Amino acid sequence: MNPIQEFRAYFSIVAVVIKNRLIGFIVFFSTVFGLISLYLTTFVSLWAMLEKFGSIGSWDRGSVIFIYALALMSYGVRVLFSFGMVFFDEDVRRGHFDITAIRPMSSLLYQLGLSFQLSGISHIMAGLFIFLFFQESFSIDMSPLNIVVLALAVFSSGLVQVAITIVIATVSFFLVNTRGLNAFYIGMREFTFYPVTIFNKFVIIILFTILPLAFTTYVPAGIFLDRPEFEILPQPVWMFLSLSAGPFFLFLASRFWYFGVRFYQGTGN
Amino acid sequence: MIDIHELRKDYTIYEREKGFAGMIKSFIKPRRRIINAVQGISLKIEKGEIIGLIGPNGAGKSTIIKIMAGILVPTSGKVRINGIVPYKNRKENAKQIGVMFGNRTQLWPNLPLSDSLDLLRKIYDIPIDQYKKRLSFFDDVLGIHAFTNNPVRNLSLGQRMRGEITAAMIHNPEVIFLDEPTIGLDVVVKDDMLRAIKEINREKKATIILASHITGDIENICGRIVIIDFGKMVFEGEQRKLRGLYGSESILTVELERDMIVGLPPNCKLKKQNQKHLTIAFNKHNIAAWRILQYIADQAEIKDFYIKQPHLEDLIKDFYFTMQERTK
Amino acid sequence: MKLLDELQYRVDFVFRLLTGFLSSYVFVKVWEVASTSSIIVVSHAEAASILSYVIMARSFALLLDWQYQVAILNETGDIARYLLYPANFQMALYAQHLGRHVATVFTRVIPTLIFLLAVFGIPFTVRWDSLLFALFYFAIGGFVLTQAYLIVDMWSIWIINIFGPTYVMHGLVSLSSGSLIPLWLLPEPIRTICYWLPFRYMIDTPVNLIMGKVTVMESVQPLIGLTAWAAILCFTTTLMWKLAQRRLVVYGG
Repeated sequence: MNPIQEFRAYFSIVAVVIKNRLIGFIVFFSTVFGLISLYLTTFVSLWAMLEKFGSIGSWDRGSVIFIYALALMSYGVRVLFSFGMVFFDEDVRRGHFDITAIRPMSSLLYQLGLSFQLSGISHIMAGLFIFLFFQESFSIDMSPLNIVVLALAVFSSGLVQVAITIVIATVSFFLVNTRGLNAFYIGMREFTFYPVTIFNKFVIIILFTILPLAFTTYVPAGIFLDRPEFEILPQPVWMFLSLSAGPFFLFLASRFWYFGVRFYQGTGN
Repeated sequence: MIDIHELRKDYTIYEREKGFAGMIKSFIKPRRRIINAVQGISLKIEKGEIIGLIGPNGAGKSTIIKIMAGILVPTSGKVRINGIVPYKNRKENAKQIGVMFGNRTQLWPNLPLSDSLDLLRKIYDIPIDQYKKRLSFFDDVLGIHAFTNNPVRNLSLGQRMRGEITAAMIHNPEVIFLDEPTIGLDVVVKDDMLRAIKEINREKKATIILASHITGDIENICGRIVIIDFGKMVFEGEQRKLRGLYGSESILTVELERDMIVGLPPNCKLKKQNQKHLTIAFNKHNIAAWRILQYIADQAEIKDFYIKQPHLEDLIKDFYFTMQERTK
Repeated sequence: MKLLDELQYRVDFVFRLLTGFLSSYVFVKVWEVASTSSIIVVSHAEAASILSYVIMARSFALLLDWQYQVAILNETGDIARYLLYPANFQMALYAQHLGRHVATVFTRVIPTLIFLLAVFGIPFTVRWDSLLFALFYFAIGGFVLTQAYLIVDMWSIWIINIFGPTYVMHGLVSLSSGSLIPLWLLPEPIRTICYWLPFRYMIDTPVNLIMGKVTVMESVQPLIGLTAWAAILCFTTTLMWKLAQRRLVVYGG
């Protein structure tokens, strides 16, 4: 199969996953509504905090809200394209991966297709709502070009999270249970909802290297909000780093996946 | 066609001792145990054959199938299917094989069967006209048209298994692996399925490898059988070869009018007497059944009798028994 | 590496504890930075008070979770067992919930509290009478909370999938209990709604008692509201369970 055929097959799988999900139409929409209300309720507490204190450190109200909205949308992309991978350790344990392995296409693409989770749009919609409602408090020029670039930056940041999800899932080929690792990732992800510079240097280093979550919100925020600490490199460079981070880490994650697949032991009969 | 040479597959299991101390000990110095799931199996299968892989649970049948399907990488040895090494060219190999796992589904439970098959059409890139022709064929053989529009979760087990077979074969594979395909099915449905498999083999000239611990499945449709035990191939050949070696004994069951002890002629053996019922084993080449009946009839009144040829299951039991005796 | 399979339960527990520490640290750190180095300056005392509240609220918030057991029992058919038990269904679930929470107190709440107090250098001083009364509020507030969750949980007998309502419930409880933000910092209309709802008795009221912001005498009056809520919710869950028993369908083999 050539890459075009493989991606066509991937989208066919996604279409079936969506159809499967929408069978419970009302349930799906109640889930979306529930998730949006959960995130907005949580956001109310952040908003009230900002009303009281005016800022968080040197990050003004608008910047903090911008980052929060970015974090939600980025996480939404992760959920949309790879949420099912969180339970991949169970697929390995029960031998369901056998079915993936007999398909004439990339096992990663096939598995990602099955992992598509339509409810990821809840997070994206919640983030978008916050972004649009408070956009006047961001000092960002909302030109069509900037909107397109911002959308691509959000997508790229989501792909960074998809890459991390794939890496954790790949560990299932070595460790049978990865729930703890997934929980740890969710804990680390909390850092990205707020300006990363308020935490200590050790955390910042980790978020740029081992767990590149700084690329999900901090880097795009730094670029669009003209943060002074980003002056160490020209803006086009930061833009390139932000937009290419997703595809780059996704590529690395895929290499690790294909390495891990060789260690799949199956479960016998 | 399929060429397997000295195939081996080992698994490594880490054992832990009980309790917290055991956990610490195993963490520092883990105790490894190697499981030899497949031990040096060599086999050649020609195009169009139906081969039965028999063995108890844990014998290694599924492991062999998974290596041939490209799911697992062997520890050592060579496997080629039509010249392709499955675990090195997994995607290429996947196009020419079809796999059906009895205990794992390829279908989408909430969607109609037709949706699952249509997705496979797209994954395997089957042209629409060929797809329709194949669906028509499977409808003739398996009668799937009656339930293709029903959600899979609403199908009976028999209908679902017919859907699974269709899913495994819709892309016209040259080689089909069936791993415990009749698990959980009642007798009638099972017979239908096995008949369909034979028909598919005849029409499509597909090579079929059927793994099962239920010898009845194998007996009905497989010409050549391979017995696997503890990862080793302990027998390989036609069913009649096994019958020739271990299937010489017929069973004569006689019901007397009254409960009494009767003598038997030479060249036969009383296996069991339960009041009026006698179970007698004999080799038809050494003594004819009518002579035994005549001998008994001279002593007592016979109410009823019947003769049973040994089934494959009986042959295999005798085979294992003989192997154990030789090992002693 | 396969060896670690064997340690799964323990490894999982350690990871979850570490994750709890991480997310709690993030949460409290944001409040620390906001209350000490932001545009609008607050007094040191107020900042310390907010920080103490946030640390305790975050730790106790670990008790706010609920396992939607009725939904799971209904899906698997195991709910039939509860029809056979001579014990009251609600009390059986509450007892299980209580047992799990007692374990959570020792395995997660106390370690998280100690961790946060140590990292942020906040002294923990408390009056013992206030602490006893706070524990009393935890117990009753917890009971009221479980009844509220049980109402949502039992909807699963009619509508099967209750993911949507559970998310709404979780958001409502998180905000109105005071686990996300001290209730006194919320703007007026939202604060009023939160004070009328029963969830603040689980976090906000006991934490304020422990901190000494509310005296024991001052916390007696809200007991009336709490008792009323307990009665209403208990009545509702009893009625729902009676209706549910008629509705239950358990599929055969």
